[in-house]
This record gives sequence, C-alpha cells and structure tokens, in this order.
Amino acid sequence: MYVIEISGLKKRFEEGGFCLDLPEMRVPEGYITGFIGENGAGKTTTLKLMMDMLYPDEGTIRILGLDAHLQGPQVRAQIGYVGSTPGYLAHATLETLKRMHAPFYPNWDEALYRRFCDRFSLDGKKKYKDLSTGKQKQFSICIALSHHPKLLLMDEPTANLDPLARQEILDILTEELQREGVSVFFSTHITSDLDKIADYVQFLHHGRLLIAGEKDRICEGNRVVKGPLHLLTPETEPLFVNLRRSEFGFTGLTGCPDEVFSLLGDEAVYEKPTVEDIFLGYTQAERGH
Amino acid sequence: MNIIISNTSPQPLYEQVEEQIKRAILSGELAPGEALPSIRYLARELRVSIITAKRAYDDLERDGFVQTTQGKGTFVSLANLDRLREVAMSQIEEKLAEAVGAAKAIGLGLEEFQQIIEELYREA
Amino acid sequence: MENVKNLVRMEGYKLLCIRKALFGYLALMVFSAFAIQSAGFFFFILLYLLTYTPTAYDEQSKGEYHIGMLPVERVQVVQAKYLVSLAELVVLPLLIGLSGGLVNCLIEIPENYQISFGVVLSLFFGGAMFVGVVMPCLLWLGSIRARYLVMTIYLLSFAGMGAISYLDNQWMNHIAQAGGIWLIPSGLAVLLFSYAVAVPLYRRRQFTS
Repeated sequence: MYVIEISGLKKRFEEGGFCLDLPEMRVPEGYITGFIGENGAGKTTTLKLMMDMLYPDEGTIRILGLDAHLQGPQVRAQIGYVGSTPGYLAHATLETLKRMHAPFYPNWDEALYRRFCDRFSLDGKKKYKDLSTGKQKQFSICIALSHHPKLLLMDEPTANLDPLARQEILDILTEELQREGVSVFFSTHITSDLDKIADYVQFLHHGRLLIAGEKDRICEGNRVVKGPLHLLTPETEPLFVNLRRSEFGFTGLTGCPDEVFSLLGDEAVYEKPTVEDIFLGYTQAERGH
Repeated sequence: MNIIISNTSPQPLYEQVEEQIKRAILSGELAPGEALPSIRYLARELRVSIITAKRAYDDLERDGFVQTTQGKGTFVSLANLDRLREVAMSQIEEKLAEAVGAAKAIGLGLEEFQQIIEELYREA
Repeated sequence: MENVKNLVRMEGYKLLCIRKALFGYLALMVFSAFAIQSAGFFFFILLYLLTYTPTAYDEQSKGEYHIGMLPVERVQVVQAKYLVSLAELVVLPLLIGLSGGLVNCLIEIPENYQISFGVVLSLFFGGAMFVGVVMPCLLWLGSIRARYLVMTIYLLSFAGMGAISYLDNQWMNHIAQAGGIWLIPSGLAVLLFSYAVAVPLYRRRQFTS
C-alpha cells in the first residue's frame, strides 16, 4: 500500500535551529510522488533519514515494510538512490565504477545496464570527472535502475540541468513506472517537474508537511482567481489562501472555488493552478503574506 | 483515437479523458471488444498522472463502456452500443432537467432557453 | 561475508585509481632497501598515503554518500578498511625485508643499516600503531575534519622517531630484539583494539553537510 511510512519523525539541527517535524508522511506504492520545498526546507534531510545516513531524534521510518535503520541493508538493496551529490570517485572510469557497485546488488542486470548506457550514450572508458553534469546524472540513474529496485529515491534529479536533459530524465521516470511495482519518490524545487509527471505531491516548508495528496485533485480543488479590487470585501477575502493586490486588480488562490464563484461570479477570471501556484500560495500564506 | 487534453480548461482532466473515450466508443471509432491502451501507457503518452487515467477508466467501466480483465487489460465492452447510447442520453436528460428547472425558476421562456442551447451547441 | 569482500574490492579499486602517486613512493621504498632508515622512511610515507588518501579522495567526491547508499552495514565498512590496512602492513614490510635481504646478499652493508627480520617486525608493529591511532579518527571525523589531527599525529611520530634515532640509532633493532616474534601478536592486538573502538564510532556517525 505505502512504500514509505514515516511517523513521529523529528530531527533537530542545533546550528541554524532547523527542525524537521513530520508526524505523519506516507508515500503510496506504485506511483510517482514528488516532494517539493524551498531550499532549506528539509528535503535532503528527509531523504538522508530514509537512507540511514542521518538518524532521527524521534520517530520511525518504514520503507517497503522494513525499518529503515534496523534493517538498513535489506532496505537499501531494493532502493535505487540518486543523490544530489552522487559521491562517485571522480578519477575512476564509468566501467570501474560499475564494477565497484554491481556486486552489491543481487538483482543486478548487466544487460539492462548496457541498454541504459547505450540509450544515454555513456562511454565506459571515460572518467567520471570528464562527464558533463547532465551525463553524470544519467550515469547515476543508470546505476540506480540497473538492479531492478522497487523504490527509486531521488534528491533533486533535475537540478542544474537544461530543459532538454531535464525532460529526458522525466521521460525515463515515467517509463520506469510502466513496470508494475515500482515506486518513485523524488525531491525537487522545480515545480514544473511535478506538473509533468507527479501522481502525488508533498509540500515541505520549514521542516513541516504543508499539503499532501493527489496532484490532480489538489490542482482541481483550487483556483487562481483574478479580478478587480472592488470584489475584495470582508466577506470574500477570507476565502482566499493568499492575495496579491496591484494597482490594476488582485490575484489570489482559493481552496473553495465554488463559494468564490458564487460570490464573485463572472467579474473575475478563474484558472486552474499549477503546482507552483499552489506551492507559492500556501507557503506565502504560512509566512503571513 | 485522438485524445486532446487541456491543462488550462476548468474541466477536470479525468473528465476530459473520459468524455473523449466515450465519444470514440459511441461514434464507433473504437469497436466493441477492442483493446484500450494500458492505464500507465495512456498516462504517459498524455502526460497526465496515472491516477487521472485510472479514474477515467474506472468511470468508464462503472458506466458500462469498458471492461477490465485482471492481467489482460481494458477492452471496449461488448454491450449493445445502442444501450450505451441510451445510458449517455439519460445522463444528458438529467442534466437538461436541472437546467430546465433553473430556467423556470427565474422565469426564462422556452424560446430564450432554446436560444441559449443553440448558442452553447455551436460554441462547444 | 560477501559485502566485506565487495567493500575490500572497492578499496582496491580506489587505490588503483591513485596508483600513479603511490607507485613512485613504492619504488623508492623498495630500492632504498640498502639502508633501513631510508626504507623505513618511505614505508611510513607510503603508509600515510595509503591510509589517508583514499579517504580524502572519497571526501572530495563525497564518497561517504555513496557508501551510505550501499546495502551494507556500518561494521562491514570498518571491517573492510582494517582488512586492507592489515594487508598493507604485511605486504610492505615483507617487500622491504625481501629487497633488503637481496641487497645484503649482493653487497656489504654496515650493521646499523642492515635490514633484518627483526626490523621488518618492528615496521609491522610501528605501522600497526600508526594505523591503530589514525583509522578511528578518520572513520569518526571524516578526512576533512581529521586532516589536521592526522597530519599532527604523523609529524609527531616522525619527530619522535627522529629523536629516538638520535639517542639510539639502532633503536629498531633493539625493539626487534626486545619484542622478537611477539611483535606480531602485539601489532595485531593493537589493530584489534583500534577496530573495537572504531566500530561504535562509525556506527554512530551521521553524514550531514
């Protein structure tokens, strides 16, 4: 049912005073879940906690039904991880790196690895440091996918990539989901990634989960409303999650579009929000805009 | 079969998909017994979420347009096309009945009402 | 254990990647076997490089992340590192011993420069002491934070050895005579104790940054 289940998770960092506080977070199995938050929201921390690279102060993390800490090695054998810092030895060739990694995974599929390499045009004889950022990412994904993982965990997989390379990676992810039984969980601050491929989204802000749910349902349940300023009355204002006023009118996000429509009618324009609209709207509201 | 999705349209995505597949079935473009693409494939090609595609298929199955067999896939149901048309018609009648009720409530005359329907039909 | 074997292999690959730097010192070490002082000198340099550099490279490339993502237990990572060090501590002194023995057969070497079997044992023991102190530091702090600490330990040991040589330039032979064959189990005991300290430290380590 759920590939990742977090409960009561707390992690505090003394320097900077940051605290990750997730009383409950669940990632559904068999779908693509996007994890979005601004820089410093705690996305990487959450992923590292899942990979047992950091330990929680409180709480538990269960992945694929196993405890992420107590049964770490069994969990990680079924995870394909692509970190924001991959950690591959820069001076090694791709072939060497593969030889270093493959033996750890009983499900390693050499033929699949070769197919991915061909698809990405990766030359095994090249040194890792001589690759462009995009190709380095692609190599990480190659390694991560070639052992038939049940869960693909990725930390900002499309960061620092040009739109073409980014789309390539998103395509690979949706392709992978063609196989049943694979779940994808990736963190990003590029909201268009989520618009394109996410089934579920989780919004992280200052270490807390703001919103979590089906992406389409969330977008369809909210509207971006634009209209003349005079429409904002004490009755209508509270219906908006956040509002921006300009000389020429207002723009606002609302979580109750039917109510707003019944009050404002055709004088306003209604648009379906993108993930970015939702994210900005709700985080700005949190900050008290 | 063509399925064109608009992300900016106020109509929910799953409804758009559902409607267009329904149209293809009722017009005969999709023959009874013909296989529909897998949910995941459809989701990927249309660039919608898998949940959306699944909801569209579930609704189509609920309304009797398609049938899903575990392990084999989803197929246009072999039920009589006329019967499906009937179902679609009764849904339309329901919606029109609502509109008629609303029109009468504000005292809208029959001719005006018909005009509105004509305009809407031409626009859509 | 399969995982430990694979981790050792990984360390091996890492060493291969830096083989060019190591090779020079290795050659110097072997070819300077006409005098224990020079051979010993290069031995310790090599040991330092072999212990510190792979970890440093790792940190440059943030290797701890990629070890962190592997399906291995923390204790297995420590086991692999100590096994590799043990291998180095056996192979290098043996090389010196063989090379020194060869040189001894060919030319006449004054006694206090000779490389005897006892001296080889002291090299093993000394190396074990060095690794025993440095390895837990590296595992607990990571090579970046441990850098100055390790460098200090290294320089102090060198200074110490230099001072002792000044007082007694046969000191390696004297240690060898005093300890004899017991230098082997002593060295192993040092490593074992160091391992016992390193395991809980590494288990507790968290990879922030």
